[in-house]
Amino acid sequence: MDQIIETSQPEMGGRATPKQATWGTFTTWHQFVQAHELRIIPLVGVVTLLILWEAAPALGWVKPIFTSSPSRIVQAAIWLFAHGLWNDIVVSLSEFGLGFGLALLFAIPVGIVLGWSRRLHALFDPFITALNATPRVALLPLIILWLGIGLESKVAIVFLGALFPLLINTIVGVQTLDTNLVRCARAFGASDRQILVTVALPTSIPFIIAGMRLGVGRGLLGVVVGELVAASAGVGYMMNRAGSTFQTDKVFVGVLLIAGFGYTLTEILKRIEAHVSMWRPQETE
Amino acid sequence: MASLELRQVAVEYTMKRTRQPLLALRNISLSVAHGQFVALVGPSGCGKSTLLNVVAGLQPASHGEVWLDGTPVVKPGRNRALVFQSPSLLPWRTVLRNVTYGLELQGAPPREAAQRARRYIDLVALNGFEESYPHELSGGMQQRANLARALATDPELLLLDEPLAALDPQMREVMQAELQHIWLQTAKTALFVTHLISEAVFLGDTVVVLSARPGTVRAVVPIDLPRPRTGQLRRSPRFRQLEDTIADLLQTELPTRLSSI
Ligand SMILES: Nc1ncnc2c1ncn2[C@@H]1O[C@H](COP(=O)(O)OP(=O)(O)OP(=O)(O)O)[C@@H](O)[C@H]1O
Ligand SMILES: [Mg+2]
Repeated sequence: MDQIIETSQPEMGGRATPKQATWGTFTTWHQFVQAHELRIIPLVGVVTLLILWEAAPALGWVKPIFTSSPSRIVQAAIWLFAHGLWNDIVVSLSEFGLGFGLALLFAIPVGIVLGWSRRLHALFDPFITALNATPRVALLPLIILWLGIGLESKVAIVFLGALFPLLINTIVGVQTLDTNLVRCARAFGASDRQILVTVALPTSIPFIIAGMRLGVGRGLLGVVVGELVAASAGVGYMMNRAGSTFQTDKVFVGVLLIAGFGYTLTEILKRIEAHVSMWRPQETE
Repeated sequence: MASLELRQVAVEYTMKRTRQPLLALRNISLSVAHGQFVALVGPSGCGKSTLLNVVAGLQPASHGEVWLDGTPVVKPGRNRALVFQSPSLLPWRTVLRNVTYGLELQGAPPREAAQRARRYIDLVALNGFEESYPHELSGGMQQRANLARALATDPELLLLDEPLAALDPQMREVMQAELQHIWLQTAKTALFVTHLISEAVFLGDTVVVLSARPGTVRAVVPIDLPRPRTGQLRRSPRFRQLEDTIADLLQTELPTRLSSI
């Protein structure tokens, strides 16, 4: 005899997230390693590098004047912080912050306008393409000539470095419109401005953030190169002086500061990106 | 409520690559009275979606005129809402904010919009999913959200392009009954495209049968069934008879379409 069995389950609203594993759930070391594999692997890599770096000059494989070593770098850092490194950091940060901020303030509105208007885009596209293809370093002599060796010239070079990835990405973002969504908005009687705000801008945000990530790299390049070439303060300036007197440890302090800053900023932007693209389908591992 | 009048409407597309003209609709004349529910059936590709787009004001007719309440249709307007054949939900908005979207564009205050939206989310049985993103919904659920968004704007003329096509048969009948219910309560004028003959008969005051492309009005079948129509009615002889009539009209379209390929 057939029987029909009715089963019922409550519907689940919202997003379902897989349960996160915690410390207590692991019975063996092996399980722990497996669960945290992707965190452990980079950690192992970094620690190995540090050990090798420290060991190589200590064992006489290389001369410390070329590679320095983690312990020397820490000592140099302590000395530098006691002798005016803060000032250099503040100078470099302000150059980067001002230049990058101005690039954002300029690129996003201009990018939106150029992405929205085909005519204006056609007019400005050759200039953008040409300037973007020109290495900004090539403009440095001109910029120094115009703005001197103070803060302004470095702000300008950061601005120019970060500007184009931001501008180009914003333009592409606004241009990448889903025609279905635009038709739908139009059917509800949306004005151009409403379509811009409710369809074009949300579409372009991930592009803008990707542009910011590129821009961070270009901007930092601008700060360092600018300070190496012509400056009277800043982390790059400090590195230049230390380098010309063979103080490798101090040079490495500068390298690590810049790398750390770039890394942190990029990570922050990745987090923001993950947060604003919560609506995207997640790839499952 | 709104009365709609199409006078000898024709729509011609130009194919992008070959630059050949393609006549999608030809000589469509139709008049829809205030509060009438018109179901449109016709072979795939005969121009049903095109017709709704023209009435919505999203694309111009190549010939002829469309009049709505005595004014010619030239652009989209707040008195109309179009439910697209493919759910066009904003992927970065939750269901609730998608349903408020139309109201928001039309300048409704946010709180009121959210209240209305929740009513229509309940109506299409999506409660519990207000905070879900479209990619977390099934195709049929997306269509229901799409429908709720159009209904929430309370238009005078509802243009529905196969809004129930992705639903399972049971849910589909439930939603048909809901649509009838809403329509009876609000007395909106509706133009409803479907491929399902039983759906056209169940919902329509009249069923307009279009010919194969270029689409033209082949027949207008008045549906003289009493309202509110129920599930039982579907099994009545009269209902079956009307279904057969429409099926026959559509059948005669088949050979021409096949031979034209
Ligand atoms: N943008 C366009 N450019 C060129 N041709 C088009 C365009 N849109 C539709 N067509 C053509 O017009 C005809 C009618 O299309 P339409 O989408 O209105 O058909 P339909 O009746 O809604 O079909 P279905 O039932 O499959 O949804 C089709 O033959 C199609 O190829
Ligand atoms: Mg269609």
